[in-house]
Amino acid sequence: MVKWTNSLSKYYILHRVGLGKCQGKEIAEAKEFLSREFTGFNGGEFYEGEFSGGEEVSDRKIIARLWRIYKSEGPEQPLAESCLRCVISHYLKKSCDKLAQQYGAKHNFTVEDLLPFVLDCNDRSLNGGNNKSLTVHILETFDSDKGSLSAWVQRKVIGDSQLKMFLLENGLELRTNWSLLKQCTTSKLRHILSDFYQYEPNQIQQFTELLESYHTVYLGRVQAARNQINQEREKQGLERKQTRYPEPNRQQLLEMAERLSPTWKLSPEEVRKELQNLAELIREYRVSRGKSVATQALGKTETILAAPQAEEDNEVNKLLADFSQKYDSCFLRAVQEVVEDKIRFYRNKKKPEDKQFIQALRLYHCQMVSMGKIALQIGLNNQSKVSRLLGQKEIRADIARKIVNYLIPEIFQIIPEDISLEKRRELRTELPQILMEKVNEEMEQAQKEDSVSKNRTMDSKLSQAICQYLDLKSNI
Amino acid sequence: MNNYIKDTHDELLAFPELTEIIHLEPEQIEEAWKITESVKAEQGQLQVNFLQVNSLQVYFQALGLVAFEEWLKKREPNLLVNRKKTSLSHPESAQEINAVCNLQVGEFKVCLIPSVGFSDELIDIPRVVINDPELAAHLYVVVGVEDELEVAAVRGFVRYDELVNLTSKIPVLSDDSYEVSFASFHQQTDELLLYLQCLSAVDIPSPILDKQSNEIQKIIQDFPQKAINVGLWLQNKLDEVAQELSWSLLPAPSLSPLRFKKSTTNPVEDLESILTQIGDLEIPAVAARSYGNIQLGENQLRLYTLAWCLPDTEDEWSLLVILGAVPPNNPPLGVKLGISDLTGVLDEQVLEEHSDCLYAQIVGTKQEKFLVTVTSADGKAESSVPFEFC
Repeated sequence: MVKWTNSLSKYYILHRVGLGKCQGKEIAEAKEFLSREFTGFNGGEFYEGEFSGGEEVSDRKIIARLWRIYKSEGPEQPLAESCLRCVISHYLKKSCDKLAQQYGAKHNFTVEDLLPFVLDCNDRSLNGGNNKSLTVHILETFDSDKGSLSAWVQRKVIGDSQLKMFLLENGLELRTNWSLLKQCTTSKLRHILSDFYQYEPNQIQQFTELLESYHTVYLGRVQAARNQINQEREKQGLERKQTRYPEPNRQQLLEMAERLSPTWKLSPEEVRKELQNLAELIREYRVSRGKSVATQALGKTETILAAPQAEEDNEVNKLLADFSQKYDSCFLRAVQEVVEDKIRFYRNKKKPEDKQFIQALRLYHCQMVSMGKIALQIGLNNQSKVSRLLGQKEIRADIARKIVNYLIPEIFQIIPEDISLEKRRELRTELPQILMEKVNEEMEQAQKEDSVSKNRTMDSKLSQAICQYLDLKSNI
Repeated sequence: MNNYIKDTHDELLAFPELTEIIHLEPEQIEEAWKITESVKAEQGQLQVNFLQVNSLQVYFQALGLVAFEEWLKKREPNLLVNRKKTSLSHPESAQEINAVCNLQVGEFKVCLIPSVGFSDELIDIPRVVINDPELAAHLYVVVGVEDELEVAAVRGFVRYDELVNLTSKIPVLSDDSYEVSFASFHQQTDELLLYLQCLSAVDIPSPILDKQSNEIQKIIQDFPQKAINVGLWLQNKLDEVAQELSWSLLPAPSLSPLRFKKSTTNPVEDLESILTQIGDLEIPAVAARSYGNIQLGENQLRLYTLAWCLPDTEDEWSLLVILGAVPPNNPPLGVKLGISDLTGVLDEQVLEEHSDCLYAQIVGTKQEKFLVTVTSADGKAESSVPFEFC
């Protein structure tokens, strides 16, 4: 027999996140318990006996045994739980490693970014805001009869709403069979089945009804979730948010089976299977269409408006002669208005955030505090929330657009009267884009000056203008 | 055994990173939910049984609408958004056409194309939202909605003329839609804002403009010089126009309605029973009541009008118009009651099964004129009565 070694360290090393870092800690009681419970374990490896025979097999057996003890409520239950928490943390980490390896480089994240979403924290008070720990959720929902713990953990990781949100913000979206069913309209399905697969009308009818029943039940679930949220708004955060409502549970499958029963007799499990089949049909269609549509994009429309040719357009150049001068006067006005608009936007929220916004704005632009530190000061749990609140990129874009909006009528005022109607019309469509480019140039130039020195300084025109406005406001 | 791992086809799809994700507040989701419910309810009333109501589709449309509005509110609150004419307020189109048409943003007509999730490469565009001048838009905006995470994003947009150009090169699918590659859309959403704020809708070639100006011209042409002066009714008088149109004033309802047997046709009683039937209308005791008969093709219809000055206002008045038939007839199914002013149609109602009257109410100032138009179901016969208050 080939001697095979199974590293058992995953059953007694607990991975947790400390301040921004993942740490593995050996749990002595767990290790000791393992050596007592599993004969043939000598601190790190199995040599022989019932737990040898390939890592997967042996892990399954070990977990099954631990699970039994964990569920037994005997005196060793806490020890088994300890081991299970360790191995769950191992799988959580592994899942994140895999994601980071596969997508991290391209989507600009590392495994360190992912771990805080799934692992428990050293400091309990930091534990993922309101949500219950994912580990606890896994312990509560795992069913050893239905598959391996590692697969269950992986699914829970990918289905975790915080992680999903993070991936989404980094340009990655999870597509499941269920989401394919959710997004396919019935008229689209009819088209797919008739034209792509050439199904018979009665088959098409059956599948359409199947999809309709799925949609109806799904919407019912959304409604139920909303009702619950409405009822429990005050008692927030009791449940960890696992957003996988597209996947129907047994009750819902049963409901669908009932809906279909007049024409199509299916057991709930068969409904599930048919839905999966249907999703596969949709998926295949999409893959094939995706390929053919890719060529369509060659005729892509690149720019909004035809870029004017500067050298021959003397008229435009004349009009822009005193652009810089005009720009300066519009800039301050635009900054003021945009900041005011944003403050109003945050104030009008159900839970007003305007005070927080003003504070963040002040810290960032006037006191040059980093976003990470701002988060701590204004009580947000991470930097990305600060970044979202400040909306730097949007504020810049909105200011630029506002400047353009101010400049247009001013420039139209100086258009000579003898200019032809045709030319006026042309100017009207081209001017916004021309001005936008000029304004962006001006703002980029200012930004370049800012980033010359590593530390942001008060030299930034934008920061200065924002501070000036905030000071003015607080003095009133 | 039902194995967890069976769900193997979960895949992560990459898409160009969005700069701006719109986080929907519970209130906004609630609002989308309410829109969905009201569409569902109205569809129930219309008894559209031949098509299964696809409310999930409507829900995604509604989420797209509230998300887009939220985005505009944050990025450019000075743009006026009007959703009153959107297809979500017209249930029959909301379910057949998977798009939110006729959203007015500033001077632009915008059509929102909902897309579930953020990574979809195929954008389904119903042909009718391009071809039908009633539904066509200056700008078509793809709004990605992620209902589970309660977020959305404005993914991209395309101009009417660009879309026409794009779709001219690809086939129409059997469900009367186009599948357009998302890569063909402008993905710089800041450019969309530049359009909405700094450009003029007339600079986008579209069928909308011609139609709008034609409509307005027609209205101005059709608008009669003389109108019934409602103000005189309150003094218990009828002007010449009203007399020409054989309009009659009605006394206020008797306090003892049992005086007449129900079978006798008496416009006072008829009006009173219609008002009871409609219910929830608040009509002040001082309201002047009148009626006139209208010949529409072969049908003798009756228009009841109630007018009163609005208390606590300088010069506002209210006009309630009810279309019924001359008893003992019933008005024909499909007949339309419309009210317009010089800017266009303000309200239009169509008679459905199981109801025997239509009504509309408007509020105007003393400078305004209104034209009440009754049109037969086939549109062949039409009759109008103008009203003003001076």
